[in-house]
Amino acid sequence: MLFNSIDFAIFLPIVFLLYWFVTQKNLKLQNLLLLIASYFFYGWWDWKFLSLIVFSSFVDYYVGRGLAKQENTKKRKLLLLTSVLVNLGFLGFFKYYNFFAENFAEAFTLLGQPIQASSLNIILPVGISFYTFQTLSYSIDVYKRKIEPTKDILAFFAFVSFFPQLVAGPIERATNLLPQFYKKREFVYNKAVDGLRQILWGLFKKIVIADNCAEMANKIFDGSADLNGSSLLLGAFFFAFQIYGDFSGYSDIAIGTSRLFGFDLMKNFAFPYFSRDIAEFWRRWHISLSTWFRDYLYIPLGGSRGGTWMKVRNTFIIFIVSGFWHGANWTFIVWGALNAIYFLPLLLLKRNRQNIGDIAEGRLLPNIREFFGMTTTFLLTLLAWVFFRAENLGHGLSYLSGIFSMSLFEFPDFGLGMNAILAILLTISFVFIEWLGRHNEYAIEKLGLNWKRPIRYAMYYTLILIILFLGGSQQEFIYFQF
Amino acid sequence: MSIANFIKRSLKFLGLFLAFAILSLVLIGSTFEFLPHTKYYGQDYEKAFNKKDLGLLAIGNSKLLASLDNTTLQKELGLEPVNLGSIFSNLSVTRLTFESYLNNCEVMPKMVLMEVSWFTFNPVRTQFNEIGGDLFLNDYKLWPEALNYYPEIIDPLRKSFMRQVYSKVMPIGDIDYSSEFKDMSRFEKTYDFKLSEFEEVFPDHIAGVDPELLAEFERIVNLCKENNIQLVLYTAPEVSEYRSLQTDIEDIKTIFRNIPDVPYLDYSEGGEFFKKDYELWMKDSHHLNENVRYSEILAKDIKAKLDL
Repeated sequence: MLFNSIDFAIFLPIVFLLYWFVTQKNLKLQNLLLLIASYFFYGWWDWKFLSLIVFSSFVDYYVGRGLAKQENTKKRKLLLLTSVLVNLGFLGFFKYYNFFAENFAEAFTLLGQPIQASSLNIILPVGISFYTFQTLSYSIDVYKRKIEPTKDILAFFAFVSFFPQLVAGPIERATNLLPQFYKKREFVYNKAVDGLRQILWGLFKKIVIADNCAEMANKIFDGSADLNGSSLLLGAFFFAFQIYGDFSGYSDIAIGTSRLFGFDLMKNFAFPYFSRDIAEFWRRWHISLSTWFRDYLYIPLGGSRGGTWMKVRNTFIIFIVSGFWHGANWTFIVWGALNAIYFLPLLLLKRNRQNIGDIAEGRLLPNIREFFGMTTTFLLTLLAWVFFRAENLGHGLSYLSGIFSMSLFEFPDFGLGMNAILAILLTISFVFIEWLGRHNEYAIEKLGLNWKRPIRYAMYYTLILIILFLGGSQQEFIYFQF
Repeated sequence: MSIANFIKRSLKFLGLFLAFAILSLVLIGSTFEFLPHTKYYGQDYEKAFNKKDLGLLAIGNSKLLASLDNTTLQKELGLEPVNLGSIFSNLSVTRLTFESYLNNCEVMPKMVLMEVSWFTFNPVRTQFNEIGGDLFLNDYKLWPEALNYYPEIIDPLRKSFMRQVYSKVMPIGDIDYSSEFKDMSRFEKTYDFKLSEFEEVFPDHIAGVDPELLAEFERIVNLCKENNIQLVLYTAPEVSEYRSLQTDIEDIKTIFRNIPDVPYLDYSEGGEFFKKDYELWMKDSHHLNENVRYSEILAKDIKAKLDL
């Protein structure tokens, strides 16, 4: 079920009413309702793949129970290995099987031993990269004794499949989300209203910004061979805002929806395009995934401790794995590697934590240094996004060489019609609002809270009207494919 | 504050919004007019829904839109025609167009001319397009059917609504479907057939028969029967390269050939009325550019077929 669909607009109030009016007195019943609602939400897309979530949940629940009873280190490791193999096995099969089969065959062909790649017609289950990481984090944390293994199977299953964040995150940790299923949730008026506001802003980001930019980005990337440099640069710009609006919009809707049910999810985006360097960008972009890799991969590998070689190795590993997580294509790996290259100088010069607080703290505008840092970082990410969006490496390279040509200084020639102008104007307005709200959880969190109700309502109505009438053609959330 | 308060306020907020939305729809609906557009002939729609005694209704998708010339048809058939084709439109839109006309007309048309082809029942090549939104804004009698077309109706409805609002502020220029092709030669081949583009839409070279679209087609046939209107089906010319890739064409043509009392005139390769020369009259693999000479031929063939 898509957040930006009428189906969800019907589904959400029904679950909300049942949750607070029918099941509110019994915690177990409330968790059961959430579980059923979550399976229904997922099954709306394809009920057959529900079995994967159920199986994954079973494995990790019993791995947790096993770890609770087991003191023997070898047996504990074996249990953890079971969880890792099952979860990554599913992920590997559904997401990476064809990639490895094809590249394996290609490698043999290059070595003069041509073999036939036996690729399969595999459908990627929606959200598999998200829920496998979430449930895996539980097993790892139990193994590391960071959390007590749960005895409440219902709470655990509801935690793994919690519908607001099931298919595209934020990837929650058991330490944060699971305990919320143990205790009685109270309805808090302000929290629920805040949740609705965040949902509204998420829908705006997705339908108005991402979907409008998507139309332009698709047009430019699909016809990139015949376009001049300035058009291609604009295409990358549109894609940068498409992916940000799409993914952070989804996160906002997920967080807002959770708040309606009394849950608090972790923040997933913190105005990443206002970052002053790449290190700061990665602290603000897809936070739940970055911190997942940091905690479960980077730190176990040694992190930034050790010699220069270790730092370089670990940085490349984490960025390349992060790229590969996004999809089975070399373009994602190059995207990850490019970000590692951007990040390394900061790490080696120990300047990766120089920009910790918000930009232009206490000021309306950034100073020259901040502005320069912000612009450079944005342009660097823009170039990396080209690979993220490209069909293949050749497409990405030719796209970049098209940008860095003399035609960069020509007027865009992709047919700059009303739609493109509208997308640009909307994006500029969006950046302006995001800038004003950059110190908050989300841009409009505090906007208009002190205004009189009619004026505040007028602002919300305006946003709804813009969503309804200036939104782009409906597109699926990009991160569903991951 | 309690949850009851939350719900009360949310309902109030939504109620106000809904009241505003309904009021806007009524307002736009009451001042609605079909506007010029590059995807159809806006003036023909406007004429169809204002002049309520037309003799010939031409309905279909872009193949129909491209193949007919009203002046020639009127001269040859003696019926006042309108071309109600639109780019990409599927049979749902075609049926709604026809039904909406019947809802509003004073005199039933004598003839309905409908272009049908290999992809008529394909739900990818044909879609619920923008004119569908226009039809709903223009004719409130269609609203009970709106939910049947959810969610694909949302986008066309939104776009139609926006165009109506824009047009009240800024006049829309003098454009129509033909304006994009006016500089193309009408009697020589100037296009290249791109297999990759074809395969993007038809990867297996099969158009298939979507059951819902087939049901819409049957409704059109029945509407004609019930109202004593002569339905004429035809397939406009297509180039050989395009035609040769249509794996399941015979299955689809069988549907058109076997409707009692409905003549089917086939101008594509293998059809009764095919001529090789038509390839020079095209603007691409399946859209005619020379619509005047073709309309003349089509009208004469119809007359012969129906003994008019």
